[in-house]
Amino acid sequence: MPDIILETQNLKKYFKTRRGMLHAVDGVNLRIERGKTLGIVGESGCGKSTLGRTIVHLYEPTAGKILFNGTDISQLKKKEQKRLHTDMQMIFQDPFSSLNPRMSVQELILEPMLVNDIYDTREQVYAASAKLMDIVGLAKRLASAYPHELDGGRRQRIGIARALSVGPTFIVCDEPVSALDVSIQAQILNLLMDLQDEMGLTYMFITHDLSVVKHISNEIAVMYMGQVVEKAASDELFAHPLHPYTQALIAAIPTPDIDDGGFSDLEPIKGEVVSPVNPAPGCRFAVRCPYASSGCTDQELTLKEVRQKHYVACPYIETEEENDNTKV
Amino acid sequence: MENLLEVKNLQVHYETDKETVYAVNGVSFTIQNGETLGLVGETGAGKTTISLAILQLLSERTARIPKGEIYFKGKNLLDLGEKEMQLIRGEEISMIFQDPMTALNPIMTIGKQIAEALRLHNHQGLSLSEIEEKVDEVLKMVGIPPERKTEYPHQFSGGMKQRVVIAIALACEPQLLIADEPTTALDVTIQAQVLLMMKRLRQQLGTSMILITHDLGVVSKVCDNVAVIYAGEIVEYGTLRDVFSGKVHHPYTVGLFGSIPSLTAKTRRLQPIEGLMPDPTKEVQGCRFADRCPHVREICRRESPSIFAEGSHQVKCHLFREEEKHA
Amino acid sequence: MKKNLLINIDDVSGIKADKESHAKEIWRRLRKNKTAMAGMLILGIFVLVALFADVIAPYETAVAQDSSMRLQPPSAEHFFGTDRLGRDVFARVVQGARVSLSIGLFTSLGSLIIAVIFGSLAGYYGGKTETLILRIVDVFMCIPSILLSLAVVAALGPNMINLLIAMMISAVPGKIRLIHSVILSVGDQEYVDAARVYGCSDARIIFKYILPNALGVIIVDTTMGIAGTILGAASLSFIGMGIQPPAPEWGSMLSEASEFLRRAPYLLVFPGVSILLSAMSCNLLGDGIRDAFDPKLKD
Repeated sequence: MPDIILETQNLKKYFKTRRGMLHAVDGVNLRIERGKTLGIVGESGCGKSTLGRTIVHLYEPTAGKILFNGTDISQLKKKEQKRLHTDMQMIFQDPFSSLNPRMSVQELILEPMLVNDIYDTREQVYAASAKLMDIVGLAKRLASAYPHELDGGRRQRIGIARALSVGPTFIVCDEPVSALDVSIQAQILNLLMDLQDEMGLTYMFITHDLSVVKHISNEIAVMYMGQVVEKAASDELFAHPLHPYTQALIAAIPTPDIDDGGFSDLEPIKGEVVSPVNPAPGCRFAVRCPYASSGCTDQELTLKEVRQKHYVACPYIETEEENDNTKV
Repeated sequence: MENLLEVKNLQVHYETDKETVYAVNGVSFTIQNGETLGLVGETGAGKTTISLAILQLLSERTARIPKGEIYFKGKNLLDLGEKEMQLIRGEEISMIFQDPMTALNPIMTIGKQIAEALRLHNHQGLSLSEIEEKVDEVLKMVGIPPERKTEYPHQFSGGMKQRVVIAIALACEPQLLIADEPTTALDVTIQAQVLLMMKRLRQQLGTSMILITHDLGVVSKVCDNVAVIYAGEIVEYGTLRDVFSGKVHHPYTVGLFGSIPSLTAKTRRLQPIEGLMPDPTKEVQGCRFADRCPHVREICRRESPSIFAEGSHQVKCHLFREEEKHA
Repeated sequence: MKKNLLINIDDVSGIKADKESHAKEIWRRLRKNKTAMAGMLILGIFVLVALFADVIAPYETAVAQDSSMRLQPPSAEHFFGTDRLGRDVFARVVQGARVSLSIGLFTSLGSLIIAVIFGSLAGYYGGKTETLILRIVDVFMCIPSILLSLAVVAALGPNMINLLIAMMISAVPGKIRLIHSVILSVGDQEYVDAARVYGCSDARIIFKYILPNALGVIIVDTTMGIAGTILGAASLSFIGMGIQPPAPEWGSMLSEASEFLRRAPYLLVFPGVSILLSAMSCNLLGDGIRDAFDPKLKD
């Protein structure tokens, strides 16, 4: 049995808007194995951030369960949540707005430890903050610096140290490298992977960048308009993308390679994502899908396993046993 | 072939009471008719400053151009007055900015905004109905149904807004288009649509383009020539093939490529460039990349490297000069 | 240690905060700000004058009338001259400092505290709390503030405490709106979400994350309000609902003096300059405090 640290069961988060119910996260089932990284990839508005925020309790789920180490944490009372704050942490996208500009680097890292009463004495807290700065690669002299004096990469290192300070086992990384330059992005990705190796952390890595998600994840879930449309091991997904949306997404990446013919010959997928307000039943990608037919919209779709540990929500893709020639 | 644009040894400094920022430090490049040049670099490399210098849109209060010439069709733009520049801007050279959300006037229909661009540069004396026809034509060109011209910017999605911005930029059929990170704010599938459209339009209209981006992937799909910029200098310059698969490379270019996670190969660790961009307020002796360079030698900190050229490929690094000597 | 952590701190020892305490650091930065220190000095002088008013010019001298000495220009005997009832203007300005400064400072600070409480509740919690608070505020804002204070004083009776309450009630609604909107914009920042994820209490988030980042707006609004409240109290006094004559107060001295603008302009100058200086010193000091709190303007 795999050791599952976090599981979502039919998780839903709806927001009331003037135009109707926005189905930001709509029935997501995911499992994350301890010590591994699950990548959540999708375009803006697909609900990936809402999913992450619902899991760390920034939003109340509308329906569904979140099992953390086997217990449902979606309905906990305020008091019972206390422990969760130290087991589950989040690293935010924007290193410019996720740090309180009025606090110095040291205060920022100390704060979660003080709030959660992690250590008995002040000395221990200071020692821990010094150690954390060392771990994430921040020079000691920066302890009294303020965020605005630092560059994006260093700020993101503070965000990481802050998340680690309470000793979490599970971290939701919400686009942690999207705001960074590519050379800095690589430094941070390496740091995150080293920390995972050393501390046995589990990541849920949310991003729109497919090359980043492939690099860091063991397993990847592709989201489209609030739903997971495909889920598979990282290599498997890129080697055999099955859902038409995943295929379009991968085809649209401009790889830094001049001999792949560019995407000049390839017609990019038409249309754009609309926000899922009162969505029609069935496949939400159908309006943009080149293969869509009535079979896509007259039934609710669920993820089904079509290859070993490769799940797709598309009526036209058959399981290997049924038909070896999976479509497209 | 005649050069459409030639930038020669351009320097731009920003001077304030407290400090001087050395933003662009001697940049030279040329663009011929119909060609696309990619300016690649990270935040603070000076990419946007170069484009603003070409359009003469630098802040008059702080920006100084101590040295350099910018020839557009044989005229040095730096010698022209504001009146003459206004005739060039939008008509012969136009610009697309990164954020389509703020580049449009929210209380004007998009049809009116395109018509305005046409009216401002109406030398052929087009009548109002002819302008309207032109608006429809331009919208069709960027893939927006002309019926939508009576709509306001907020009724369009991000990708569609960027199409409108491009339509405005191309309305007067400029000879040179400067696109500053035109697809950075867009999703990847939308980015692919917009890039493909830009590429087709360029072929159709024969417009030259400067594409400013941090994304080597985008460059590889759109550009003919590439200039890699680091700390206000072009460290590597050549055709797309030179920079992507040439024999020699500047260590910074190597670092940039090493930082991108590959979609095909399996790498556990990325090879980033350690350290940070040098402080732009300090004058540097020697190579600006020296502090981060894995091949740094004593000469690098002493002397600014000269350009090593091999055909169309130029690399500004000491590494290859010495190899030349040995050979 | 209460939790099995992933990091080992045994090998780190003897590390202390290498920072001076916050209050000290802010004071140090404030001290370097010359205009703020000037403001503080002026305000300090006014406060001292108010505290030792009875020593400098006893209350009796401020209300003693002498019809033979009406409208005298400044002289060695009467530094600031005398008013239409022959009262010594210097003594009245000194004694008035008590009343006017209390009105200015206490109403500003008092209304600020009330507004912070309700504005924060409305902005932070939203929903029904927000609707309730803001609708009540709307009702109060429909009534002209002078009318509102008038009603309060009329109901409670004209004396100093009731005047303060009246002035506060008319100042609070606007401030609640301001703080509510500031909290909304700062509350959107990701660092507030981050604080929630690591378990900060709501009070800690409001006082340590949101309000400090809204300090600029709040301080400017408060210090700008001080002169306004002094003059507002004057208009109440003018219609007999504020400080009761013959008690001296800057605002009512000012309105009395306007009758003699040509004959005795000094009557206008001294209380006017006092209001101006005290308001200005608050503004200067307020700006200085705002800057001292802002790490972006450090060193």
